[in-house]
Amino acid sequence: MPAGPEDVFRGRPIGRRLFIVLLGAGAAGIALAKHAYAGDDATPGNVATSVPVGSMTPDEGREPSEGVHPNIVPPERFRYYSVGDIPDFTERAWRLTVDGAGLDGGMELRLADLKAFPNVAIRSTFRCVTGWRVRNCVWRGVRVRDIVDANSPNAKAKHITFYAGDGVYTDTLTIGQARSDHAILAWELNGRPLIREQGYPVRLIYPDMYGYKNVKWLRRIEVKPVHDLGFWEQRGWDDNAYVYTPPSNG
Amino acid sequence: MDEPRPRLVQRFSGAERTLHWVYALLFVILLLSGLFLYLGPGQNPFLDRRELMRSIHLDAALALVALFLLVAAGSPGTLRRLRDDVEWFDRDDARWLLWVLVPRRLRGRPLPPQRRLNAGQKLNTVLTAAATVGFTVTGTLMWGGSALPTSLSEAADTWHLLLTEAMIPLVAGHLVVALLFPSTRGALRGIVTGRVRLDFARRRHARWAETLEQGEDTV
Repeated sequence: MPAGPEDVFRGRPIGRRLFIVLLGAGAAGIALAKHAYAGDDATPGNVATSVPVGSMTPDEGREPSEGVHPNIVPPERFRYYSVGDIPDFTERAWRLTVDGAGLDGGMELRLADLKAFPNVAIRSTFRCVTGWRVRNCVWRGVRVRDIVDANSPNAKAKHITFYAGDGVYTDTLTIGQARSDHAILAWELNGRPLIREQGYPVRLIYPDMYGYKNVKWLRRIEVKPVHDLGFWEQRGWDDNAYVYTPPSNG
Repeated sequence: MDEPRPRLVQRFSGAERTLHWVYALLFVILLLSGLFLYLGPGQNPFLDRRELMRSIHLDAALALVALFLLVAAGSPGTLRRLRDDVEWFDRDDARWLLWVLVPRRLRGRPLPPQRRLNAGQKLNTVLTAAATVGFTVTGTLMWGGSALPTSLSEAADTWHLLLTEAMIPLVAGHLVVALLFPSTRGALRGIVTGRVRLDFARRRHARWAETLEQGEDTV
């Protein structure tokens, strides 16, 4: 129907349509992003998947991320945070102390000693509590429980405090969390040794929880009956850092 | 001899100005608290106040929703009028958008006549309203967090951040135009006091000024 004089004067009713189109585009965007991230759905069953040890060649983990963000260092797209100075360990000088009242034993491990335990590799998404994430990380290391079990845990083994080599940072897991298949001491990411900013030579990886639980530059693992609060937890962050609803026995 | 006092006309009601300024205040609070939740060590002086920042962010978001509910309940005509103001776009609006994009020295024609809101203000209002709904929906999904599939909360997280990145230049442009351009000083006075000079209305909003002079518009 031809527009009357009043319609010509008023123009076209675009405002509400534009608003609805924008909302529709937003809803479609969320649906597309959800579809794209569907493989990442973190539940106790699939937060990490085991992959054959050594299956990741150094170039497989590369992503064309140059120039994306000044804090993202290619190729792994991580932003590197540190609350203290970044330690500069050499393989020769580094040692990992495993001790505490929850163990009848105790040991000091060189990197070669650690690598002599059964190796595992897991593929997971690394999630930072500030919102960024890196998908398809393949970490190689040994299970925390294998290290604990090699040191004769006793009835006092309830909690584990992980100490970073910067002398400042710590964080904790319950013994139940640390016994997960996904809790590993990792020395390799995507087929390459960890870089210094990433926690060289060894860091904790527990992808069920946000990154601040994943202590870098590990120097000491203390198995104990009491629960300590980690560095950020002492400053009000959640001790429960699960990225999904935690298992009831967590 | 004293110059005659310029005639002032009402452009924005008290409810409209309250909506604008409380929204602006909450937006700044949300932006800053969101930034301090997003930035990591070395960039963020409030990392050890994360819980406080999260509380401030959530409370400000709730206040924003409450603001619209209060205005809708207390002054339903305000949102209705805003909706009517932004609904119609005509040829002069298209010309106005082209006019402001052309460098000043190349502008041959006078400013195309506009209604109470010019085309830029209409677009800004629609984009801001859509973004506000987007922030509310994605924020609610993020707040649902661990109870939802990770893919949904991550999708919401991604779009919350993208919306923020899209809104920052929009708001920055709004501030630059409102605060730094002498030609918009009258508009700034309008959103502060509610009233503008009639000669400003005739110059910048000629179509609206006509309706005022014909007694067809009251705020």
